[in-house]
This record gives sequence, structure tokens and C-alpha cells, in this order.
Amino acid sequence: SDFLEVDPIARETEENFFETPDNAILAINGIYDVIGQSEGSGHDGQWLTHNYEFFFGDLLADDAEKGSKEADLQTVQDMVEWRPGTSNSVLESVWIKCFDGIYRANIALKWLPQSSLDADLKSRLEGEAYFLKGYFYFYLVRVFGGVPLFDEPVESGEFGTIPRASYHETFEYAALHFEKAIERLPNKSDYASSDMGRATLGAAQGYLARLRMYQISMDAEATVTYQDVKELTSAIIGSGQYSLMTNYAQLFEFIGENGSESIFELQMVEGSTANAPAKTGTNLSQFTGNRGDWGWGFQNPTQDLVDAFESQDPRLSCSIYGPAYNGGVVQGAAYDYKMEEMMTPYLNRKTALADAEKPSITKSSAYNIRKMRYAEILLLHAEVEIELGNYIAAEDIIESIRARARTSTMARGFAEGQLSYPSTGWGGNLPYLGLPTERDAAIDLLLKEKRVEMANEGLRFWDLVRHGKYLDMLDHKQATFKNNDGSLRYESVNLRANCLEKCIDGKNGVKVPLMPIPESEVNDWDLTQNKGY
Amino acid sequence: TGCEEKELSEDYDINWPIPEITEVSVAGDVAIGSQITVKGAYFADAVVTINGIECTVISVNDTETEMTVELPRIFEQGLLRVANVFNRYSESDELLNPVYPEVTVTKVNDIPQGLQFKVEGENVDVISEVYIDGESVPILTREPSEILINSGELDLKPGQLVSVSFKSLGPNAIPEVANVNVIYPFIEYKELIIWDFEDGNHHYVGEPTASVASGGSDCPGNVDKFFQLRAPGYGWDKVTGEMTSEEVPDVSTFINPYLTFAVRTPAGSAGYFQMEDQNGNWRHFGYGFKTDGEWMIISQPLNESWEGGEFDTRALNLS
Amino acid sequence: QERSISGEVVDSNGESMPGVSIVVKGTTNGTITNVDGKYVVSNVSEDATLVFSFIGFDAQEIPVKGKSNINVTLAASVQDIDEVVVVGYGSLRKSDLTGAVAKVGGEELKGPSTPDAVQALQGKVAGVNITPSSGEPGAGMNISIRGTGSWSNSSPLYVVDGFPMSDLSSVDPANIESIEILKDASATAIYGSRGANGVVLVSTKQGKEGKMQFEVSAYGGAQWTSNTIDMVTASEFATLRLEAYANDGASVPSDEQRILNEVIANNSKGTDWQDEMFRIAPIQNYSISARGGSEKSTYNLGVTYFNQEGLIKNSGMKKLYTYINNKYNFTEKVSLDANISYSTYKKNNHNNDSFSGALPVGIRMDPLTPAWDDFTNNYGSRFMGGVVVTNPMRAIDASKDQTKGDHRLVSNFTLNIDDIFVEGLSFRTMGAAQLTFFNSKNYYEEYYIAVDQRNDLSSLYEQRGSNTALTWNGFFNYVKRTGNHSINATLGSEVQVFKTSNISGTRYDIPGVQDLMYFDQSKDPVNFQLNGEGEENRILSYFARANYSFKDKYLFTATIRADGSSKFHEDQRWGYFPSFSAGWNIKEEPFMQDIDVLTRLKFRGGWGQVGNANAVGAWNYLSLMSLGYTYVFGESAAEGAKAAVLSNKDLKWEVSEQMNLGLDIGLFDQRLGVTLDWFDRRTNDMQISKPIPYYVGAGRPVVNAASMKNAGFEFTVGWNDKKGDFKYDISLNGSIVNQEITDMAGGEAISGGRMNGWAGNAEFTTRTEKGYEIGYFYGIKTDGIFTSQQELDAYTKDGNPIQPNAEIGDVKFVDDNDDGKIDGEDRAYLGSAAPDFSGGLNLGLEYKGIDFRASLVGVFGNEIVNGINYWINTSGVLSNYRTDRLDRWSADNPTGTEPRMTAADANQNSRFSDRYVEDGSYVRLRNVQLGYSLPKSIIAPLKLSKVRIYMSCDNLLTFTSYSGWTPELGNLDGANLAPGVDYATYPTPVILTGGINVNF
Ligand SMILES: [Ca+2]
Ligand SMILES: [Ca+2]
Repeated sequence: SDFLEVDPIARETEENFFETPDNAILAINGIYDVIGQSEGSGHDGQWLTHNYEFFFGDLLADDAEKGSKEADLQTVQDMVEWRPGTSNSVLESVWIKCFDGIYRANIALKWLPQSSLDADLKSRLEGEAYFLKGYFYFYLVRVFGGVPLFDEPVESGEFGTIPRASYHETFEYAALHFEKAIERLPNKSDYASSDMGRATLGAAQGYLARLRMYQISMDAEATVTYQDVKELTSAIIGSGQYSLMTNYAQLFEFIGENGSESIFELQMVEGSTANAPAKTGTNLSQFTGNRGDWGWGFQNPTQDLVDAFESQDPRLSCSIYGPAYNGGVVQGAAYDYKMEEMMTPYLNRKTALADAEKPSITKSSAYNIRKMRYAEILLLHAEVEIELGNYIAAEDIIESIRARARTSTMARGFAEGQLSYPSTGWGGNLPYLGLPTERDAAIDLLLKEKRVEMANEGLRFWDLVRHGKYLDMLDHKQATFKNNDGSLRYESVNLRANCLEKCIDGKNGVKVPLMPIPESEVNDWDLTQNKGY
Repeated sequence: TGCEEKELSEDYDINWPIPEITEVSVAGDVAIGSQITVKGAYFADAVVTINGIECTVISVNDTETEMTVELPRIFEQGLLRVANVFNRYSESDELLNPVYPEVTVTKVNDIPQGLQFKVEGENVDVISEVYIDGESVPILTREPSEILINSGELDLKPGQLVSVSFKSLGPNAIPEVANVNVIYPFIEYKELIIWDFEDGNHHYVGEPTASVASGGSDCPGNVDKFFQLRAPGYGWDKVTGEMTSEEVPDVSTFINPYLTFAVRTPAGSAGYFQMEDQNGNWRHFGYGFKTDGEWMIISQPLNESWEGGEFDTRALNLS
Repeated sequence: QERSISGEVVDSNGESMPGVSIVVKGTTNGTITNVDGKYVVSNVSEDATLVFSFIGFDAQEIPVKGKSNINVTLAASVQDIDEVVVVGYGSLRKSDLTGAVAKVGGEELKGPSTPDAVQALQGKVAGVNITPSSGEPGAGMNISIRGTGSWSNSSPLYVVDGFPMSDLSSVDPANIESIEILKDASATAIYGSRGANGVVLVSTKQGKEGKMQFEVSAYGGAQWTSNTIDMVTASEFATLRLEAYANDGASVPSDEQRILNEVIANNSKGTDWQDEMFRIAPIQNYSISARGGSEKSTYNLGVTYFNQEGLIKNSGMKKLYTYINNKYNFTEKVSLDANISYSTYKKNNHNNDSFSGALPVGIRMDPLTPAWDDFTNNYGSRFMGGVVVTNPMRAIDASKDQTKGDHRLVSNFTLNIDDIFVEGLSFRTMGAAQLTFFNSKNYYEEYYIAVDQRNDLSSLYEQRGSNTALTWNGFFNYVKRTGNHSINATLGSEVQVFKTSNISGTRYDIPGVQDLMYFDQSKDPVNFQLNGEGEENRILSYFARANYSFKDKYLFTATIRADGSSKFHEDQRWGYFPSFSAGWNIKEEPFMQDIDVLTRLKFRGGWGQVGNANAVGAWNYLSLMSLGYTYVFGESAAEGAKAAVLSNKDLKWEVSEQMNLGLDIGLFDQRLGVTLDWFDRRTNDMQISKPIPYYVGAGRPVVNAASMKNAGFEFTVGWNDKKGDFKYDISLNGSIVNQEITDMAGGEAISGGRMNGWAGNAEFTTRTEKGYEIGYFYGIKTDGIFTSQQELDAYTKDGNPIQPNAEIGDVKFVDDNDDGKIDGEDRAYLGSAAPDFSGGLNLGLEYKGIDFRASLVGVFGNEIVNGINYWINTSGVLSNYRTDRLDRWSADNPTGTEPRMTAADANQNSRFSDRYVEDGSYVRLRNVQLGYSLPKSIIAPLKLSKVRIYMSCDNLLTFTSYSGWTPELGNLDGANLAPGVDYATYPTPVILTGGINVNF
């Protein structure tokens, strides 16, 4: 009877939502909401532990230890030691977050094409949804390998009937979405300033370039070529949209947000709540901050990373700080440190805030998380040039990266008491290196430069894996990484053996380790588990 | 029928030792940075401050009843405070009043644009304010013999001459230092030298009024020979010389190419620079230079500070 | 010869009794007494017999024998054989009942000092378990009837004077006449979709013909905590802490060494945090009521004011009830009941958060820290690291500006028409509304104690909202007795509408002055939050019931109710809830007539189905876009939307199916009464947010999936007797319930009871899965501690140590899955919060003016997770210790029973294990009361009809081996899957009061 038909109050249903531009934009914004979250409630309201890309990119590599107190986030340490359980909450949160985003993108991609929106806006919004969906699938394939692929929101009848796609298919599926985004997205400069932070043509090209580059060596079935990647990186370089910032030290300060070098970054403002999904900031800075000050102390850069910097490289001052460096001064102040709550005497300088910049809602800093910057594209371009035998072109690029570093200042607030950018006072530092015209040596030089240029930016692990250097690095880690008291940190685990049993084969002997699929997906919904779990 | 609430601290029986100060070797006027002796009790791991400024504890005796403390070089009149590990503290009875020495500035170094520069002299660490052309700039580090000053907040142009003035806590006034050079920050771009004047392939085609000579060893940087233009012409409208290249350097693959060269202009003279690409588009430097007879190295990105628009570096064929 | 007979009817106190029915035996001729208890009956033959009867009194038959004036004194019946019981949309003689129904009279509800009528039922009714959700004033009650019927929401339906409600907080306990509890499905089926967890029927006091009578009562008293936990002193703390460092070979930070040495040297006690936090708190209550009326109308009105402060400062509640119950008799057959009440309360929100709340933090706080530091003139800051928490006394202070409350208005109009169309057919219709305006206001002050104990930005949160519940019903009732046949039939319909909406906001930088705690005082014009939401749902119902009895011996009842709810998709909207039951009054059989001691023997049996939709939101079957999923563009927050959950168009009613067999026995003139019931209750299609693959990416839809059963047995035995002036009664009730989840959606176990340890680890303590109770305790078993190297070396599997990081003095964990290592896979069943047996014992004595009542409740066979111990019995340096920890194992104390001290805790001694699971059985003297009524001779000249003074004490004694503050734990909000986990629950106070009742 009519009496029992009560129309929803204060809500709209999915079916009619995409008919107005304002609503359609809201639904797209709702997809971005996922990428900005690092902790909070998952799609079903259950609390998720943190999801930060550096867990993989830096901690699994030789650049950083988990940090904080030993017992805190043991789940991450398990990943570092290549013995994560199959219900590791951090991995579950990555899985859940990515599929949450995919679901939201699929809702948009289901209703947008049928909507009567203006064609330009429709195309751009579709482009954003494609980009974000590609972003989530690319994240998934790197961490878990092949996953189920969905063109539309999943129907309840499909639960438990959908298998994982192959590693290759998943890579291609993510790539396809970036390609669709490339067809639709405008340049960075074509957006209104109020839209700064939306996915751009350059971001889609950049992510596709990164994806293809990974795929070339990690996906045994890949048919993509270096020339394909070069076309993408050349398009970004030739677009005139991006340039290196003059001073490296400004890149990771607030002044560097959305700067000329920014290709994609997660947008943050402090807002008025610490809780997702209404939260608009990040707790990254607190999460990686000094426990002697306001932080939780995760991500402790290693001595190995520090040693990778040349002696007079101002980028070191922009990458690390801590009790064993520069008198503990950071952002103009000398702080106390709790060595018993640090795994190395270093912390990540790139996420460090000055006192005045620390948010009053400490879990909601306005600090943007840099996901892709132009220097990475240049280095990818240089890498492609090496692989194609164009050593001179590669050398020029590497030199341009070094030249910028050379003329940069020390980190802001390097001198106690001031938030200025002190000049290095050095001349002749970061000398011209040239580039060996032998492929392996040239790649080594490039990777070393990339390691210091992009320290703590969550890329190192995959660079090592795709160059077949990861397992050797684990041996190095096993043999040399120490606790603060001098004992060997990984004495009681066998890193290589743990990792090797979880590897699939890429091209040319490259071994690609994968993380476990969440246990319930395997037990209850018939997905196959990865090797070694 | 309220029940009588007891005081929160009523039952607390831990009497944390509070440092006692029975004697301070000085009172009233005291020279900054001087060492003083404090007597009293409970000086265990004491932190000594005066008006919030930390003093250096030189030594504490075994019974923790006497210590030698060095006063800071800058502090305001205040009580000496001794705090211990129990978060307890006491303050001296009498105020200490800082006595500052005379300040002498012997040298103000050139100011690299946007960076820090040094002021040398005696007791310069008690300088409280530094002004460039009347604008206050922050002091970065202080030593009695030199202080470092940051010019980064000011919009200074290389070639500009500025005056530097001071306020100090000392009893004397410090004279203003005029005509301090603002110089381009020292930058070295070995790989990006477009013109190598020594290779003989690039020809200078001088106007009759100009001549070319190699630079001398007074040129900064590690390139020992530089190209000089000299001309009898004066003023901005006089062309003093011109270079063309037969072999066109290709910078299209460069990432953010820079043009770097050394220049000096005679005192009272200024110059500027312009460049034409192969399509005949002219651009000139966004600023001129006036070096008062000193060498200056200019390193300028090709896509910045060119009047008339930036060069499209992809199409740039220098001529 | 026929004549008129007149007279007066009084009760045993000599009070005149209006409304007593007088019938000439064998005829329909009769009358009732008037306001003054007087009556006149005409046309009575000389040899006739008059029958005087009144509910709750023994009927008397008096032969006329020619008299024209007959005065009668009616005695209150000790028997209840013909008691009338309200059964929902009508009433029945108790002897005609076929379902499991228990009645509690108003007198029995008097006792505990509480403004909550539900709490007064504790221990009174077999199978009804009631626990306050905490001891904080104004905390809610957890009530479960015959076990936890569903994990979604197992609260019963409350029906006050025919008006269905979700709680009793608008009802003044002083105004309750009686409470009936419908336990089995055959009794509750008439309430259909809302009856699955039992129904509590409340009848309020109605007006009485006669002159105005006043009843005034007042009580006041004091409350204190019954139990504190023995914690170490500052110097003992320092000793243990230094020992932890030493055992680990770790160096003590030099500042800390000095601090610890200082307290050891002075043998300091430091702060006793419990002593600082707990206090003796006042309680008071005042009630006044008046009733009276005439033949045309009666009234009952009153007001109650209650004020209870908490054991902890800045907790407490004030509550005010007012009500007026009027009845208008328009004609002999048409009357209107109009009941209106208003109530309001305001309470402080005591903070019990596990990281910032007073009790959880206070119990863990080290004794070195002062509560208040006279030196800094501020709350004390901690001297050393470890517990990153704020001073609990500051948390207590902050509660003064954190309040909530509501205003409720209930109006309930019922029109009764008797003998409509035909004799015996009556019609009733009720229109009722409950409006609740709720509000809460929390001010978070700025403060600075230390770098890690501070709030730099003040904020104010306020919420305002309203709930509206509207009910209209109408039903016909037909009662007919012809010869051996008796029929009682009901047919009706009901409509219910529920609406709720609220707005809430937060603004920042607001002055810390109570008069300025308003939004317009915010100094921050930019940041604020504003939210609001609304919901509506409706139910349309039809119901029918028929009772048939043959010769009062064979009883049959059939009920059907059809409910349609707007919460479900059209195709699933209607639920049909049938029940059947039968009764056999065996005592009425001829062969039983000679057994004189037996006054009643009745067998009852029934089956029925009832529904539940409490877990379902208003539009769960639709896929709605919801806002609030923000991101940032161009340096400004940008609103975003998503489709929050998958829709489930198949969502339908949760159905509870119940069988009941019962036996009612009355012996020795009903002085001994025994009721026995066996039941088997299955909840099917339980609504849960069913686990779906994570890869769906959407929120879990609510589906009908899981099933559980509660089967058991309950009994009540009561004895009452009177010997001269001495009257006494005693009753014992108990129940045994066996609970089991019989099916889980997808088979996935659900974890619950998350405990946040100090070391930053968080562990779940409960698990809900097929084959066990809801939220059973799940952790690692232990086997004492290692007391020798030998024992340590022997603990191996295949030659490898099972606990490679253990040392002597560490906890020995049981390798339950026998795989040679200790990890999460070794977790096992450690008990559950579901008791094996629970019951109550009630005792009453009366002698001359003296009366005495005592009430005990007991719960047996349940376990408790002692979360307090989880926090404080760590091996490490993180928090304060119980004095038990002084008996830690060490080389100097090789017989120590507690694990050794270690800060590193390589063996993870502190992790959740059976060391934290304790026996939760207890017996509590819930209430004991001694009263004295002044003799008439003293009060009559003062024109008073009754004056009683009394002393009463709640929770005076508790017998338990549980080592926390209190074994009486309710579920925390939203912790349905973690019953019995003690998160430093606010303890139930001992309440001692003195009071007085005056009637005139
Ligand atoms: Ca930002
Ligand atoms: Ca095991």
C-alpha cells in the first residue's frame, strides 16, 4: 500500500544521481576520497590500518626500516621480513581501499555514459574515473599480482564466482584505463585553479609510463617496448607543462605543493576532523614524525641510504634528519629523540613539518603527498634512452637532475633557529659524472642517482625488483643492516629464502615477489592464493 | 548535601627536591658570556636559564651544591633559574642585567641573491637587527667574530648595490655600510656552456667600436679564460659587440638549458645581453648588469627572465 | 420477598473500597460500590446470596438471610488464582492463560534506589536477565529475556498502557501499577514483528473514585564504591620498573634513574588514583502524587524528582517526571482514558574511553604522577615516558561541560466502548504519540599539562534532534460464555510511524566559560562542521486472536499478526506471525478433585513465530548516494559522494520461532506456587551485515543469514503465608539457558572485544562463530610460568624450543595446534559471558508495623575478560601494577607466581590469554530494606492514613571471585559481540538511603 512506500529522506538513489553536473562531480570527488585516505574506516565501516605506499616502495627495499617501536605495526615488519600472514591488516587495507575506489569508479562509469551531461564535462569526468580506476588496479597488480577485473559494479550473484585475472591481464587492464584517461583528460594548465589536483593528461601519461616500464621486465607475457615508453615520456617532456623546480629543497615544503614539477599529488587541507571520510588532511607527517616530538616515528631511513648520497649533496639534508645528523636540527629546531623507539637514527625529512605548520588536528595535516613528479619522468626517459643505446641523451638528463641538485640549497631550516634555505657553501660538489656507455654500468649509475633524487618517495622497491636486483639487495640487507645496539637486525630470519618462495617469474630471470591475497577472499570466495602463502 | 571534596594534592607524599639557590657570584650588571658561580643544593642534572635562554653549565661539584655556569651572549635582564630533573626549579633573588661590549663591523661580504651573507667584526653576535636598504633581515647564526644573514626574503637583483645597517645591543652605534654588491649566486654549469670561446669555431664579429680580448685570471670560477667585450660606447642603447656561431648548438634535448657567461662592466657602466634564434626572434635579458668592475657569473635559464617571452627551447637554434 | 440491601465494603485496614462488584448469586442482578465504598442492591430475595468481589481480594459470599444492611470487609487475596493478566490488546484470567507470562506487582518494584523501572525487575522474574550497562548514573539497562535472542538487538518491546515503546525511560517508576512480561512466542505473537525478544507490558496507576488521596515519598542517601583494586605504591612501582630494565639488561635513562631512586629512598606512596577518583556521592528522590475522582471521572497525577551524583565527580543525572492519568466515563459503556506525561533528564557524560577516560587511564597511571601539582599549580604531568595519556583528574574535570539530555512528551488516548452492537463485544481505539527532543553538548577545553598532554584548540559540539513515534490502533474484543464454552476473541489493526531527525555541529576556539559556550562565541570563522540527517519508517499491522475454553479445563489460543514495514522492498514487505497454544487445567478434572493440597495444576504448551527488524535501516533495500566523502581541490575541501552499500532487495524479517512447555502448580491453598517452563527458541534469518567479498568494494548489505538458538529451562517457586500478625513470602527463580550460533553467513567468524594494549598492540578478545555462544572468549591458553631452566629446556617440539624467546619467569603458553610455535593459530575457547544459571531470591517479612524485604541476584558459570588486568598486569614498564605483581618470579623469589618483570617482553607475556579470563559468577544482595509504619493511633489524629519510614541499601554485599571492580557488566554500546569484556567499567555503587512515605 502507499502508506508503506516511504521515499528516502535526505538521500538520492544511484540511478538518478548523474543527471546534474554538480552531482556527477560529487560522485567523481567521492572516488578521490579513497586515494586520500590512509587510515580510517573501510568500505564496510570496519577500521582499517594504515595504507602508505612507502610501506612497499621504501621499507621492502634498502632505504628505510619500519621504525617506531618494535611492536607497533608488527604487520608491516612481517611484510619487510617477507613473512606476512594471510590476514595481514595492512595488506587487507590496501586490497579493500583499492576495490572501494574501483567500486566507486565503476558506479560513475556505469551511469556517466548514459547521462545527459554536457559532452566536454562528461568526457573529463570519465577520464578522471578511468585514471583513478587505473591507479587502483596498478596499485593492486604491483602488490598482489593478478586480481579480479570488473567493468561494472559487482552483482551479488557474482560473489564467489569470479577468478583472479592473470598478472599480464591485470597489467593490461590498468594500462587500458590509463589509455582511456589519456584520450579524455585535459592538460594541467587547462584546469581552473579551483580544480588543481584533479587527474591530468600528464598524470595519466606518467602513470602509464611508469606502469609500462614496470611491465617490461616484471610481466613475462609483456609485449610492450621501450620505444612505447619513450613516446609517453617524450610527450610529457614536450608538453611544456612541467619543469624541474629550481631549488630541490623547496619540493617537499608547502611552497612546493602543486609546483612546476608536480605531476600527481594527493591534495590535503587540514579541515576540521581527524576522521575519514570527512577528513581532508593526512596523518602522514605525524605518522613519520619524531616520537620525541609529536610523531609516531615510522619510516626510519637506513644508514645504507644515507651512505648512498655523495658527501656534498644538499639532497641528503632534504631527505633525512635525526639525532645522528646535523645535531638533530630539522625545520630550524633541535628536538629530542627517543632512540629506543627508532630503528635507525634517522627520520624522513620530506614529510617533516615546521612547528608552525603542524596541524592542530594532528592526524589531519595539510601536507600534500607527492605521488609523481617530473624528475621521475625524466629519469624514466633516461632509463629508456639507455636501454635504446642513446647514452648521450641519457647522460644529459642525469646531468640535469644533478645540476639542479648542485645549485639547490640545504633543506629549509637546516640551520637552527631559522626557517630559511641556507646555501650549501659548497662549490664543485656533485661533479660531472658522465655516463658509461655500457648498459649495466649505465643503469647502475642511473639507479643510484634515482635512489638519492627520489629517496623516501616509495619507488625504490619496484626499481630493484624489475632490474633483478632485489634478492641480492636482501642478501646485502641480511648481512649488513644493524639495530641501534650494533647487532644484526635480520639475523634470525632468512630474507632471501622467505622472499624467493613468494616470487613469480618476470622476464629474463627477474623474480617478482608478491604479497598474499586476504585470507577471507581465498577461503570464502574462492580466489587462488599467491605462491608461497 | 554535598560531600566535602578533598584537595587533589592533599595525600601526595612525594616531595621532589627543589633546587635551592643560596648564592650567585654576581648580581646586577654582568658581562655577557661571563662565567659565574652558583651555590645551593639539588643541582642534579640542572638546566640553568635566564629569561628562558639556556646557560652552559660548565661544571657541578660532587655534592651537587655548586656549579659554574657560563651566561649566554644575549639575554634580557632577568632572574637566573635552575631547574632539575624533577621538573622543579628555583630562581635567584636578584636580577642579572646584561652588559654588552662595543661592536665593530669590519666587513660586509657581497650578498649572493636570495642567499646568506657574512658580516665580520668584533662582538658582532650581539647585533640584534640587520637591515638591507632599511628592510629587516634575519640573522641565521652568531659568532662573536661573524654572523650569517639571510637575504632570501628580499627581492634583490644581481648587480644592485645596497646599504646594510645594524642595530645592536652594544653601547655604540654601528655605521651603515653602503654599496654592498648583490651578486648572482655562484653557480657552475660545466656541461651547459654553450659557447666555448677557446675552440676557435665560434667567431666574434665585432663592431668597429668594439674589440675582444681574453679574460684574465681574475675571472671567477674554474674557467681560466673568458671572453670580454670592451667598447667605448656608453649607455644602454649602444651595441658593444656581437657574436654569431657557425655551428649551431642544439639544445632541443636539453632539460631546462641555461646560458652561462661571465661579465664585468666598468665602474659606472652597465650592460645587457640579447640573443636571436634562427627564426629571427630576438629576446633580451630581463635585467641588465652593472658590476662596478667586478666579475660576475650570470647563469640564466633560457626559459626564464627573457623579455619578449621565453625561448621555445625545443626550437632553439642559437645564432 | 424482595428487598433492597445496602451496606459498605472496606478493606482490612478499614479503608472504604470503591468499585467492588456485588452480584446476586445466580443472576445478572448486581452493582458496584460507589466512591465511599457504599452500595445498594434492589430486588434481592431473602434467601439469595450476595457475592462481593474485587480484583486482588478474596471474594465473599454472604447469604442475605433477611438482613437489609450488610457490611463486608474484604481481605486481600493471598491467592492469585483468578488474577487478571494483561496480555496485549486485552486481558485474560490467569487461569485461562496458555503462554508464559509473569507478573510483577508495584510493591515488588519498590526497593532499589533507581529512576529506572527496568532495573527494579532485576532478579524478580525467571529468565529475565538485567544488568546496568555501567554504574554511571543514567546508564542504560541491558535486558534479555530467555537469552540473547539476536545479536542485532535483543531488547524487548515495552508497551505502556497499550502504547508500544522502545524503552521505559519516560515512565515514572512511582507510577507503575504492575508489569507483565510476555516471554514465549505464543504470548508475544500478537505483537508480531516487534515481539521477538519478549514484551514488557506496563500498566500505570489509574485514578480511583473517592476523595483526593495524596502520597508523598522522599529518600536520600549516599553512595560509594564497593571495591577498589590494590595497586602498588610509588616506591614499589619504582622497584618493579628498575627490575624490568635490569632483567632486560637495558640501561635506565639517567633522569628516570634519579626519579625512581628518589621515591625508593623516601619509600613514597605517591598517588592512589582510585582514592582520588572515587568519592562518596549523594542521591535523592522526591515524589508526590494525588488521586481521586467521581463516577464520571477519575484522575491520578504526580511528579517525581530524582538526582543522583556519580561515584566520580562530574558524573550524575537529574531527572524529572510528571504525569496525569485521567479517565472519563461518558456513559456506563463509553469511557476515555487520557494519559499524558512529560519527563526530562540531564546527565554529564563521563568519559570512559580507553585512552582518555578517567577510569581506564586512572587505573593505569603511575603513582609518581601527582593528581595536582602544587608546584606548577596545574594537573600533574608524568615524570617519565610510557603511558601517553592525560591526567585522569583532568578528564574528570572536563566532563563538567559534557552533557546530554532529553525532553519527552507522551500522550495516550484510549476510547473504550463496551457492548457495542451485541453484548460482550467491545471496541477500543488508541491514539498515542511520543515526542522526544534530545540534545547533547560537549565542550572540549584547551589545556596544557605537557607536550604530549595538551589540547591547543577548544571546540564545542552540539546536537539537537527529535524522535517521533505515533501509534494508532483499534480492535474489537468479544467475550462470550455459554455453558461449558467460553470464547474470548480479538480482531484489530494498528499503524505505527517513526521519524527521527537531528542536526549537529562543531565550532572551534570557544572561551572556556560556561555562559559563553555557544557557537556564536567562536573565534574561528572558517572551520566548522555541520551535519544533519533524518529517517522515517512505518508499520501497518492486522491481528487476530481467539481463546477458547471448554469447561475451563481445555484451553486453546491461536494468534496471527500480519505486519508490513516500509523498511523492506515491496516483495518482502509483509511478515506473517502465527502462534498456537493450549492449556489443560488438570486440577479441574474429576479425578483430581480429591487431592486437597493441590489447588492448581495446569499444563501449557505453545508454538509461535515472531519477527524482528531492529537491525534494518530505513532504506537498506535501496542503493543510496551518501555525501561526506570529501577530497581536496584547489586547496579547499570538496564534497564527494558514493553509493555507500550494495542494496538488498531480498531483505526480509528476522524470525524467531519458539516452543514452550510449562506447568503451573499451586499447593496448600495457593500458598506454594510453582511454575516450570521449558523453551526452545530459534532465531532464523538473523539480519546481519553479511560478509561479502572485499573485492566488491561496497559496504556490506544487510542480509538475512545467521541463525541461533537459546534453549533452556526456568522455574519459579514461591511461598507465602500469614500467622497472625506475621506475614512472609519467599520466592526463588532461576533459569538455565543454552545458547548457540547454529549458522553463520559465509562461515566467517566475527572478532570483537578489541582491547588496546599500552604497547600499541590491539587484540580482539572475543569471537562469534557457529557452534558457540555469541562473543565467546578466544585467546591463548597458558600453563603457569617457567620456574626453572629445566622446564624451559624441556618445552620443545621436535627438538626445537616452542617459545624461543622465553626465559625463566616468563609465561608458558600452550601450543594448542601442536605445530611447535606459539601464534594466533593457538587461540582457543576460553569461556563466555553467557551464564549457566542465573536467578533471584526474594524475601519479604511483615510484622505489625515492621516490614523487611531482601532481594538477591545470582549469576553462575560465566566468565569475564578482565580488561583492567590486561592493561595493568603487563610485564613491562608501561603502566602501574597491581600488588599481585610484587610476587613476580625472580632469582630472589623463585616461588613467585607472577611472570618476571621485563620491559622488552620478548615472550609477549602480556598478550591476550586465559590469564585475563576470570570466573564471573557472583551473588549480590541487590537490595535490602527495613521499614516501619507508624501505628494508626499516632497518625490518625494528624489526618494521615499511612506513614512509613525505612532504610534501604543497594548492592550491600557481593560474593564473587572476580578481581575487577564489579562482576556486573553490561554490554558497552555497540558491543553486542563482546559481552563480558571489562574495559574498566564504571562500577555499580553501594547505595544507602533513608526514606519516608506519607499517605493522606
Ligand atoms: Ca595541501
Ligand atoms: Ca602453535
